[in-house]
Amino acid sequence: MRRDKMRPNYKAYLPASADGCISVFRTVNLSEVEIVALGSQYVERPETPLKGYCCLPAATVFGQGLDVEFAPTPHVRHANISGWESDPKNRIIAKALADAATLTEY
Amino acid sequence: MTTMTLSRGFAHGLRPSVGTAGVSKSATWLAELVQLTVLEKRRSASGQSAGFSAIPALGESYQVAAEEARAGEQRLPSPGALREARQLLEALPHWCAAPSPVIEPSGAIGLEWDLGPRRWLVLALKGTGTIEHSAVLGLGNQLFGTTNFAGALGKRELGLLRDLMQLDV
Repeated sequence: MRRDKMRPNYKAYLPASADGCISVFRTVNLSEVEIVALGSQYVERPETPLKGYCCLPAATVFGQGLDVEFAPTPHVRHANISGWESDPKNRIIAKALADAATLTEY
Repeated sequence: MTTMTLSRGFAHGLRPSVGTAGVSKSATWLAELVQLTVLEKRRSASGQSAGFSAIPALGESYQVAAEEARAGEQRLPSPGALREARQLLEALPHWCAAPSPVIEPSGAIGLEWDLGPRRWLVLALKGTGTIEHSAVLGLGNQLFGTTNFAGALGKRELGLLRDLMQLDV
């Protein structure tokens, strides 16, 4: 999180492995309350309470050469961002996604 | 729209500790880190490595990563990665701004300079004797790759830092 710039750090969009994926939820047509509830129910853990969420258009993801694959577990709106290549290049892509994202702090 | 959520981190003050038998290498490293922080205060007046001032932030990032690792959301850096990060911080030239340490999900340690639009660089270490660079230096100028790392900055990394800082040294 970069509070000074109100956007996430590139780490937020970096997969754990070079060819891994990023877990997201499709939030189109959802209210802020519904987004918060999704996070609380399916993402939050006692040891790592949530501190906010960030949104970006799916077109930005596709524009970086990535894919959004529907993965309806644990929720029908769950998806994975896939198509990552190598860590050095992934950081640049993650930075582009973070720059395009809007950050909402709780 | 796609949305992802962010785990709540926390800030810990660093406390001096003594490494003893049974203490992990990473915990021992944190003790060394405190000593280095003291060292940094001694050296700050002499204009040496800018990276020393980033060492406390690296310790805080490690603490947050440790909490996330307990939740299975993050891998912790290897002792080798911690050692290489410290070496790189010590090797940064005095004309270089201090980086922001980032413990990446893979356990790699990224040192990030975010100096504005299209002035961004990450040097990342994994404890494998290599250093990865990812940079945006100007419109459409994206640079990335991997080179060997033996504790000192190579020509490639120095060139990237020089371009980022826009200095002639």
